[in-house]
Amino acid sequence: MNFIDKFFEKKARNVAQLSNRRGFIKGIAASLVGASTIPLLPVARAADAPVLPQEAGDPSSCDYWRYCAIDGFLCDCCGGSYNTCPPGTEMSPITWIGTCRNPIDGRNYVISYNDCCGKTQCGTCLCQRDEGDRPLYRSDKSNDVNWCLGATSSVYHCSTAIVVGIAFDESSSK
Amino acid sequence: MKVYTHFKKIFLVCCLFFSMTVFMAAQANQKTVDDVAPRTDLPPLPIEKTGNVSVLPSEFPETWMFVDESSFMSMFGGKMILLDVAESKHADRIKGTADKNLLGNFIQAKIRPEFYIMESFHSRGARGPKTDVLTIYNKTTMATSKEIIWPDTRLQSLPRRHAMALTPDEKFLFVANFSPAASITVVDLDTKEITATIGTPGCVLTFATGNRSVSSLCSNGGMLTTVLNESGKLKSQHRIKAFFDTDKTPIFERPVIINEIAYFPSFTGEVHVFDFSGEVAKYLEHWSLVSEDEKKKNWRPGGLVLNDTDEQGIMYQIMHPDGYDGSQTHGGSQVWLFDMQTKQRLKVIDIPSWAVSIGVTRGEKPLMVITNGELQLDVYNPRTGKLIQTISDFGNHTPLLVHKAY
Repeated sequence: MNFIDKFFEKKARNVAQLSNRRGFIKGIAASLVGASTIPLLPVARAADAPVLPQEAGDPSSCDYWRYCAIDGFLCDCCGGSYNTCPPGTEMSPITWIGTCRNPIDGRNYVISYNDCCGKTQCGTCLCQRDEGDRPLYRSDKSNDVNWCLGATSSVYHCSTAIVVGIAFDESSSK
Repeated sequence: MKVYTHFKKIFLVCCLFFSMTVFMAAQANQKTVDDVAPRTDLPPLPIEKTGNVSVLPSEFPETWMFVDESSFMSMFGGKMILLDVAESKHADRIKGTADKNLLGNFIQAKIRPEFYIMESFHSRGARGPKTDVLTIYNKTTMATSKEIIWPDTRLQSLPRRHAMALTPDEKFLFVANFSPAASITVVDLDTKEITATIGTPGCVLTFATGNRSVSSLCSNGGMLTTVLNESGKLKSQHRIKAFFDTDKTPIFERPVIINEIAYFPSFTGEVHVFDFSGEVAKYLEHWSLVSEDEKKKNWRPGGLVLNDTDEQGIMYQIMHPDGYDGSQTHGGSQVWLFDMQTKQRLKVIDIPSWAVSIGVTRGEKPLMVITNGELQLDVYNPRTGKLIQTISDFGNHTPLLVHKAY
């Protein structure tokens, strides 16, 4: 099991290393230059169906990939969704973040766990994963704080998991 | 088969007869009570005064503890429950309670007959303007003696022992703020007035240091010591260089402190030792709680309030095997006891009902109190490792932290 984990981790890390922001911009720039030298044939355009970003899993389940660092009630079970607060609540603009790997594309994403506030705890689908969670001294990565401190009401209701960026590997940014 | 059916019939008839007998006896008893003739030979019961309220002793017994019922499932109705964890009679366990709203923070003085709760209220339940308030309680009456309306945003997080701290003479109280800008507010406990709010950029929590100082853990892996003058205002601040990597080798922000020496366990079982006896915190050393063999099995510290100490200087640490990044807050299946002077492990106690948090009573023969996986309290004798009793149905929903009571 460990061997399989390590194998896929290594593969995923390689993919992540090749997909950092600089690499992405470089790739875009190269493709734009390249594209301008190639005539756009009608046949080629018709053949290339757009490739959409993908993810998989059940957002009401604690093992959903975006919830890797979460500790709270899943808004998906509370009248909202993984990236939307339930009706009548308010999303706190201040929050903590985690880094989770999308198992479909092998990329690491920065996930913002914005709390929804203003009503008492939703009380269902409690999920505690805590991967990459750090104590209060790293408040940017700490889920021990009641992050509703940034909202009008400090009463916590549930947590979302919003993709706010692609994480880039430290080694490839040097 | 026939014999069996016959026996079954006899058994049912017997049951019916027994039930009728019990019912008739109860009726007869009731009749007896109702029909008691007035006893004119006995004096009537004295007329009692209304408005009686119990008062607690000036010094609490060693087996009393303050249970932080955090009310995590609603945030309203949190409270501190003063509980005798050695009492076997259910009705005699609770000694008193004090409300603690919206994940309030708690600390008790040892010299002053007081305890302090830092809490928050919205004017209309979950909405309306918010007020943070420091509520000062008299420990014997459990009544509020003063409220100080808070000018800053106090730290609101899962319960912990170091959101507030007292100077050794209990002249000053330090309170952690987090907005998320971090600061510390100082209260003069003689005058019950705020003397200062001091910024601690990037550094959080309150660890009492020396006579007039407080230290905080920083985001760069270092420490910051804030020194007060005798008026309770800022005298100086000192940064202690980083001693761990907050990403790669994180520590728990929950140390045990024994005779002003603080032991901060890391996620993987390294313990970092600080001397808090001087004016400025001083890093001493680090050593491992786990052997090489145990490291291979990924034995790690873990839990919410994952450690405590007794008055003999023994550290009680919740541990779990097969640890990973993410398991650090999940609790453990064992408690390991360490002599922190000799750095030797003294005992391993299995916790079959899982340990989320731990607290230890005062005294020479302390009791170990575990918040178990069912969010009840298991009381152990740490000398034998035996479970004494499980305490539930005392208003516990999420009793996440247990404090010594003085």
